[in-house]
Amino acid sequence: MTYRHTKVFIALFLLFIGTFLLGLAFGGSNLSLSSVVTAIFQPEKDSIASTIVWQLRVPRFFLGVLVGAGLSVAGCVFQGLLRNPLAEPYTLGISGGAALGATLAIVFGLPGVLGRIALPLAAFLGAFLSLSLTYAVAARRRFSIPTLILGGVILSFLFSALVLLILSVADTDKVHGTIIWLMGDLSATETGMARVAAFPIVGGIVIMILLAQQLNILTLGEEKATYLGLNTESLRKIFFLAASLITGACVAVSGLIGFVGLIVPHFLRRLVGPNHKTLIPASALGGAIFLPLCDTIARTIIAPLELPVGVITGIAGGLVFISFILKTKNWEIF
Amino acid sequence: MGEGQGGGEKMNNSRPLPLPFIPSRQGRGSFRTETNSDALPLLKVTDLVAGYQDRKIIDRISFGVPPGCFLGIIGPNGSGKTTLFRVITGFLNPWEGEVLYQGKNTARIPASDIAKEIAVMPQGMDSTFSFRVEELVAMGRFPHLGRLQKSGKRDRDVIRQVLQLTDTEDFKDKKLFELSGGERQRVFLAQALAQEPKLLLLDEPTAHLDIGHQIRILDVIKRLNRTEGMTVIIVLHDLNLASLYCDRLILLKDGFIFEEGSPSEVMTYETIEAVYETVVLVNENPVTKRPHVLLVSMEQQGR
Repeated sequence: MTYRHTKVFIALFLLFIGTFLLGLAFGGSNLSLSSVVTAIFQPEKDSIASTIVWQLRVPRFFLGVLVGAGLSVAGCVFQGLLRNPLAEPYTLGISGGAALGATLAIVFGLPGVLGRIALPLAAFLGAFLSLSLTYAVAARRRFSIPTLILGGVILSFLFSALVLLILSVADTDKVHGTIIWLMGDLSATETGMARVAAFPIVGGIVIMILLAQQLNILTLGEEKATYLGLNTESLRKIFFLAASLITGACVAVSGLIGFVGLIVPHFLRRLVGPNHKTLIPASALGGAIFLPLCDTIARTIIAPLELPVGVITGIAGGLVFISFILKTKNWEIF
Repeated sequence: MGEGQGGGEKMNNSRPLPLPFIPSRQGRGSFRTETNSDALPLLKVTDLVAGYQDRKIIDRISFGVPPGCFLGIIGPNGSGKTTLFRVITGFLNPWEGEVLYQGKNTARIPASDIAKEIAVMPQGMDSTFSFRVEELVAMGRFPHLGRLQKSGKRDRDVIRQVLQLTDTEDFKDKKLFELSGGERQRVFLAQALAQEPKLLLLDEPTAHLDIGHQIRILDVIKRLNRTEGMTVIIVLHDLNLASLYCDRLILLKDGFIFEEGSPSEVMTYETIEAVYETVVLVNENPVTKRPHVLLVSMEQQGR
């Protein structure tokens, strides 16, 4: 941890606080900063404001924090594990499986039977199915990186094709519901579900932080990693499973929020360097800022209606990222 | 690369390596270090057969490496140098035969224990990400760290020492991608040396480097071989470099050992011509008294 890193972390922390206050103030009805502060510290004073803040916005903010941090760390780990800067949480087919699960649930009217748990459950089961298939394929070839990528990408295409097949014969209103889910959304989740999802997400992030140096060494290539005493095959399994579980949990509670897992790690690698010991915590913090910020924009910009947050992460993230690349000289993607 | 490269090179030229290795002038005999060939070999290879899929590359190779030896593996392209190297390092499992380190079969020693004693620098070392030099060297300490992986004073001392030894200390805070090929290679050597190995294995560490950088890399290794008794096994393409630095040479051809011995025993024009299928002259390097191979082009062979 150098002086520069400390500065970056302090800046990120201040940004996080700022995002938190913004996220509590803006939405369907806008609150002033002072009423937000009052609602936090003296909830009995203004009951309407404190209900909005405590019942609606705080849980939603922390769901954004959870999913943003989870997707960013998973993306960061997949980029390191696959030694490929274009990797992201959805590269290895998790998204395809989850989408298939959610689509089946919507088309067969499962939410009518099981209630609000139906979609997250179906998405998670789908994610788990694709994860198991990718695992089974990769395990036949000692979990080599090319097999992992090829297996994951091919399964992802297969699942997408199945989703399209189902949508092409489904009712229009169900198609609409599915597409909204596919775009990613933080509004539909209950607090209880978010609490359940917190275990794999937080647990996964902690595992990644503990194994950061192993991940660093893995990026030197399988041969060198072996010579430094690592069991590369079992480590790749651990990283794959942990990152996939994080992703699956995120997708289950929020749908397919794109782009966060790709650009947040890139952005922070630029700021703190590629050492995963600092990059993973920084990515977690960065994602915990970026996603709630985008979510605040998504529910403010056409209030009282809401946009799916995935639309905002895609547009905002893409524009910021492109302008960053154009402005910065000597851009290194690694 | 670009800007950083120039600065780094300049520093190297103005400040030579501490205690540079100076080749002995007493004749070729004295070049053999005090390796007692009766002693238990540090590494012993018996009846190795190995290859990829159904293609056999290595065909019954046996040899021993006494402690303190500087052994070179030479041979033409495709003769099995890298395959033999990978079997010795344990990255490739042999079809038959075994590799014994201090009498123990390396296949039965956990990789994490091997890494405490044996360091390996594979061919074409590179990194996906542009780590800082010091971070890369610190990865070499990994095998010695405890469960919590907290590095202590000793780790920092070793890192500083190997940075000095490989003359990479001046750019320890630079990123890898800012360095030249020669500088990067020294960083990866420092990473391997940070393991404090008893045995160092290198596969063509001087490939694609200019003569200055070739000598700088090999001098560092030779110095540790002499002062610390570090045993070295090195795959080299360049016959003259092999002759200059190695105590013993193993010359491979088509997966078996064609000749084995001191550089002057192995590098005769008859042997080299037979193995490489080209006409050469073998002279003596006037300073080091070691054999020196001179090439003759096909066109001029008729004259």
